[in-house]
Amino acid sequence: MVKFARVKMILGKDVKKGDHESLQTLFHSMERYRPITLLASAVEDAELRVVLQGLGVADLKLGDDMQKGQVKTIMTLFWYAERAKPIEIKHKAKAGKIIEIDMTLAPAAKPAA
Amino acid sequence: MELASINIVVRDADAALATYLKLIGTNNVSELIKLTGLKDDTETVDGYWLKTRPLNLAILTPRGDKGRMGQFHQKYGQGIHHMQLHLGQDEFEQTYERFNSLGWPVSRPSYFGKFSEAVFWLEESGPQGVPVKFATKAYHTLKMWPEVVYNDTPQRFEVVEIKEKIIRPRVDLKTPVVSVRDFEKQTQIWATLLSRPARMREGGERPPVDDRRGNQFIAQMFQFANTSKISVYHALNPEGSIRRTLSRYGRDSMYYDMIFHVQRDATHELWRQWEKAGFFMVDPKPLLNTGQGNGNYFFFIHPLSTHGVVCEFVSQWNFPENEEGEAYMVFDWSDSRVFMVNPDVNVKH
Repeated sequence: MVKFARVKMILGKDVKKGDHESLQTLFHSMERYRPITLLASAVEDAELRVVLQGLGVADLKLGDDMQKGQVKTIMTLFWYAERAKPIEIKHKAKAGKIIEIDMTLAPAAKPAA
Repeated sequence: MELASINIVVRDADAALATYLKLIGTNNVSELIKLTGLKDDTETVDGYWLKTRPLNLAILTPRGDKGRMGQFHQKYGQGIHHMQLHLGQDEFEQTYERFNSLGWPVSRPSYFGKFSEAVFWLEESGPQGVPVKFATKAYHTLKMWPEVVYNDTPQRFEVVEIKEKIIRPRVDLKTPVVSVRDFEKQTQIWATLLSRPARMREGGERPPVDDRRGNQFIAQMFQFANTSKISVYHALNPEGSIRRTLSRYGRDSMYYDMIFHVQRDATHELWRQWEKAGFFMVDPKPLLNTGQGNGNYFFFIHPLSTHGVVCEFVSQWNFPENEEGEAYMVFDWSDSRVFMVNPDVNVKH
């Protein structure tokens, strides 16, 4: 697993176990524009495992070719369809909680040369 | 009647000017006028008038919160407040009478002494639901002069030299978009207001547009001779951002965004320039519109980085001259530089 990016974002709403949310609905727009420095390069459509610590997991496709060191945001990493993909919430959490988000390139996806 | 400008209300006109010069590029602004103390019938505003093509962009900050723009700013925050239409004086006077006879709420006309220009407002409380300003260059005294508020205004105006050079590919400001709840009713109202039929419809016989950002909408467009357009959108899905924005503000009509047209072969380069400049890009890159054989690129900048205004960008196009023809849109290659097939291959013989 190649580490692709890591960011901390403030949860925008209360959630409980079993809810279905998404990056689009969990975080306010200002949070979705929080800068994220990429730790690896990857190509368009590479599959990323996105782990929202304590909340849930989603496998999302990258929206474009990206280079290590580029600064991106949730909005510029993923197309709307990916940002809106349902994430099943595993544990309850309150709005305002800081959520650590880890993104890794899925084993099948090869990092860009 | 010509669509002339989109007018935004901001907290800090100087900061917004810097933002919009960075967005549009100083090479795409032919003249910048600084306005101090521009007074009409309800308030005094300060700001800038950017001469861009085909529409001008006005960046205005109201003094106080009692006038139209002041109240708007207090209630809704920064954003598009109104569009301005320019008319010859005879048409201006006739339009004022026409709206009065329809019972539509028009303001008292205001006369800007230093420019010999007159304006009146079709108020937000009118059937169209958004403020619209009508203006003329008076070449003779106004027929409705007893109703006119004469102002020695603006207090000051100056053409400002833009010292910073920010060079961008071609960026044209073309379309204010009005989002409405009641599509059929609003289509009639805008046709009456603008004295022209809608030129092209999205929806009806054509399927609704899916913007692939969560909105499905239908639209009417009203075209002007300078190739600008007013688009009236009706979003079909309540969960999409267009309808949610209407609901959040408790409105039936509002200005939703403004559309710029950009040079096709520079679309991706522009996107990268704006991302690097710190604008909040929506999506990872320009989206190629594959819906209904459209073939144009389009993308957005989030209003968080543009003083409350959703900015939309589409590669250059116009309506075809032949309204009966099959073509939906005509691509404008006039500023494109790089080709594999030169567009001159289509020059009429």
